[in-house]
Amino acid sequence: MKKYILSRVLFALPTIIGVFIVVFFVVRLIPGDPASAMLGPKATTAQIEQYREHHGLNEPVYVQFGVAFKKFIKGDLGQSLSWYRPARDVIMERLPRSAELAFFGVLFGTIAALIFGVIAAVYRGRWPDLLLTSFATLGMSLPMFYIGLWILVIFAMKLKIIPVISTLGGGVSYWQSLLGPVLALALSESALLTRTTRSSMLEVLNEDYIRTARSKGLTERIVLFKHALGNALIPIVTVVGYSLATVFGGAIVLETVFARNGVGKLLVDAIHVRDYPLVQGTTIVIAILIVLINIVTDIVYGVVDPRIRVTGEER
Amino acid sequence: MKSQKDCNQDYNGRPMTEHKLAAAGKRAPLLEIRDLRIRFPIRGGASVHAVNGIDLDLYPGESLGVVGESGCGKSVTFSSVMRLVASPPAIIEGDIFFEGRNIMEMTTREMRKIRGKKITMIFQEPMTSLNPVMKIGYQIMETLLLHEKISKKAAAERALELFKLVEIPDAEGRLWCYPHQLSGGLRQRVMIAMALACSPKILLADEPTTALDVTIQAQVLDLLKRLQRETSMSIVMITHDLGVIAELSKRVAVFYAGRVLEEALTPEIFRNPLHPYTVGLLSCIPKIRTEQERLYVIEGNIPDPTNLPTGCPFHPRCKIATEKCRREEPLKRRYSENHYVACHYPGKITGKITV
Repeated sequence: MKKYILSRVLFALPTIIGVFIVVFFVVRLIPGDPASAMLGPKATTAQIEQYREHHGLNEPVYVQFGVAFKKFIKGDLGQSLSWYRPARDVIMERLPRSAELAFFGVLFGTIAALIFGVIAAVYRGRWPDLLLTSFATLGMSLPMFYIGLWILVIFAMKLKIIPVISTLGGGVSYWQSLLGPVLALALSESALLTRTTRSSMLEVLNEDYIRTARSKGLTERIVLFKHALGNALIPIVTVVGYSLATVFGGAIVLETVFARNGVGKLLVDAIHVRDYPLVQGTTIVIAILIVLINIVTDIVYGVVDPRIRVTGEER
Repeated sequence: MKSQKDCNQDYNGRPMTEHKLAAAGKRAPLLEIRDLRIRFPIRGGASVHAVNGIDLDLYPGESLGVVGESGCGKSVTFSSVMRLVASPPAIIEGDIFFEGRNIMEMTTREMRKIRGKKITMIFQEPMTSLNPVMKIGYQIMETLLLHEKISKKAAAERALELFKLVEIPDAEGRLWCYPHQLSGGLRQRVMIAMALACSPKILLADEPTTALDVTIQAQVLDLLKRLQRETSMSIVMITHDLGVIAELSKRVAVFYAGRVLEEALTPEIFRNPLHPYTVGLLSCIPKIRTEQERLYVIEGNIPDPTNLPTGCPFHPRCKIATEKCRREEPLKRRYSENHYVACHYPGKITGKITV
């Protein structure tokens, strides 16, 4: 098992290096440059030139890459141009805000989806199924920011139980600041997962071992949630892993809508001011997280299904 | 619906129950299936008529063989004894009495106390009948913990005993295996162990050897035979293989198109089949000793369950069918001691048909 994890981490390294290379060049393809973005329209040519020289932006691109890559290997993401601090520190400061959103959003979204999916499968073709699947289709069709806006309209404007700007302080509690974005994320994540759970459950419910479980005299609740759901988990784990990975992409939108100071908003702001090191750093951190989540997902497969347990273990 | 009065009379006009009680040594049946009818509605208002008026008794300690072709309603009949046939969609009519109580009228809670404890079932597909993500020892313990008031430790010990009872080699080591780590034969043994866990009154074995290799089939049959000798439970052996019936069952019921066509003690059926269908079935068994060029087949197919023939369900394939057979459904009546048949001309075709 340790060997497996180690090999997965080693295989992930080229991916992360690849992401670094791509991001490095892609941010530099965006028109405009950090100097003019940073110094504003009133800056003189001399000031801009000085700024570029100071931050090494006048060097040829390959030289810049060499410097950045050497630092990256050592774990240094460079100095943020807009924060005047190491990019890594800025990102690490913001990361918990995004992580808590991702965690609670996916957690509640998954719990809801499992319950909805099982209900839809059990009442297949009848009104609870139709209601839940239409709800899921709606959730899949609506963009996350749109759901977020409606939550703001309902919970912040009408009910006034959450702030319009979800930052802490100023009489806003931790949970109040989280409620809006978590709800938006959970609703949107549960949509696809409800459908996955439903179809996976429908498949499993026709299996012979479900009949065996019923023939033992088990209650329907145990048959459904222990015997059936336990077997329906594989596709569900895939989708949850995928959701967790993409949630950081979704966070960019949600954090902007709810004005949350997370990694997503940091990335958007960094792109606006052409803060090259911060864009690279944020992207790399997100890439590493996605790789880690994928490794964890693969390990979880083996936990939920003994048939695909990692090789090297006893048969 | 056919009249209950006719049904309860034999060919001499005497009430049938009297004979049955006499035949079984005046024991009351453990399980009584009375005029069971099961149909599955399909599109366009039609229905698949799976079971069309089955009357069958099972006595304590008896081993009953149920034989019939695929789709004759034998599995669905006994699944409904466990109330495992989902209704809706199925429409189930008739009564099933277990120890004098009507299963059809029981609440789900009452039924759950019978399932797995009093009546258990093993299935055709050992490869898929065990939960693949649960350790097999736990799957057996689950039944025990549900029905018996015992600790987890005692349940684990009992599971091990059961494994030894069904002759699983290296029982200790196998207890905490997953199903995919076992062969089909071993999985069927696990299923049998699970079915025996709470010492049931009735074991319903739905084609338990069909999916197994021939050598493994023999082993599993031997096991069932031994268990039947050593325990007092009734075994219903559902199969399409008359050889299995000859091995295991004292009495046979021949199913066709959701009806029982003939019912007799096993030696009697083999010696003196009365229904043309039974005669045909027996003629299908290949014989090594005779110089037979071709194997016998019963012409035609089983009737379409959405559109059953009028009269006798077997008449389209029957060599001696008459106008009466097309018009009037023959009811199951007593022909001789321990021999019941549903045919207008019982015993008209006798012996084996050869090609």
